[in-house]
Amino acid sequence: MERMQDHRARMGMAAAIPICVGYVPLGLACGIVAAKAGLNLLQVALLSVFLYAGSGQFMISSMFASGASPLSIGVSVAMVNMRHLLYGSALAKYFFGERRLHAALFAAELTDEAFGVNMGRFQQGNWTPHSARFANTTAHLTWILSNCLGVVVGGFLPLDTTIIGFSMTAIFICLLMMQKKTPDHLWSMGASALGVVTAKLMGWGQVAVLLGALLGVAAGMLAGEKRGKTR
Amino acid sequence: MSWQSFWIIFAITVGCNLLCRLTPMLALSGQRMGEHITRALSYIPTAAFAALVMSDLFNPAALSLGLWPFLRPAAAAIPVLLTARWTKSLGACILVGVGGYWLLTLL
Repeated sequence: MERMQDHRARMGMAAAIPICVGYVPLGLACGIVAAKAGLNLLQVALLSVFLYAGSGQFMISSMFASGASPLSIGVSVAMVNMRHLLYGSALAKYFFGERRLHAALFAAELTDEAFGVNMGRFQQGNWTPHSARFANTTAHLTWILSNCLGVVVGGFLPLDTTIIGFSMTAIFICLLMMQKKTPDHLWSMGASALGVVTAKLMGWGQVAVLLGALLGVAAGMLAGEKRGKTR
Repeated sequence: MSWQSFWIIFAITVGCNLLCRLTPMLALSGQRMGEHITRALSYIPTAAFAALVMSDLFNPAALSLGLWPFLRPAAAAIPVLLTARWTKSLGACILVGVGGYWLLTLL
């Protein structure tokens, strides 16, 4: 039994490797940017432990550096992170019967990338909440260490965040390609993409992902119901 | 950053973030869901990944730097799409994506 748990833990850590590959340079860059904006090591560590949201942490640094008020920074970052509502909802069925504390610990460390990797593994089967928790914690620890190291080493590392950031885009593209390709899902994909473009053009970039994803879910549901009726 | 400003930002962002991360998991993981909800939830991965990809590829602000900086992410996404289709490997996609993007910045 214990051997099985160890094996699942190792599987979880191995699954987190692609995330960590992106998190090390991004985390370093996030720490560097935060230090330049005026956050100290303890503040960066607290944010990376408890907030653990790359885009949110980058936003805090850039908005603070540009003179935004703490209240507006807090509200803007909170809005961007509302998309996390969807991730927990989609993964909840795999935690049926799990202890609530374990489910909560897993959910607290759920990022875009962790959601992607865990969802992909759960869909393929042979993936357990235990492995998923280890994958999340491995990625989280990597993020914390990279953030703190970024503050300490400061500007000594020449990092281009745009190029490094594309590693996360590559992960999302790969995970998108692994999804079902039924007509309903293609409708969902198209509507979601269109929703993001529209939201960004309207100047609602902060909630574009959430709005796009909600539109995608609605389009998938509608297409599915229509197909059911015509069958 | 002063500690007073920090704690305001920390309380709002961490509070909202934990609420968004924990609430659905705690509310839904302990019970069997109806067919309608299950079906709606099954579209979330596709819709969320499509939204995340499009959000990364479409950045209207980049247009101010020129057409090529605006189109570069989409151009770099093409080899990643092909790699994902053939290999279904996250590692290979990261390598091709970052390598391709770096090459495109040299153009």
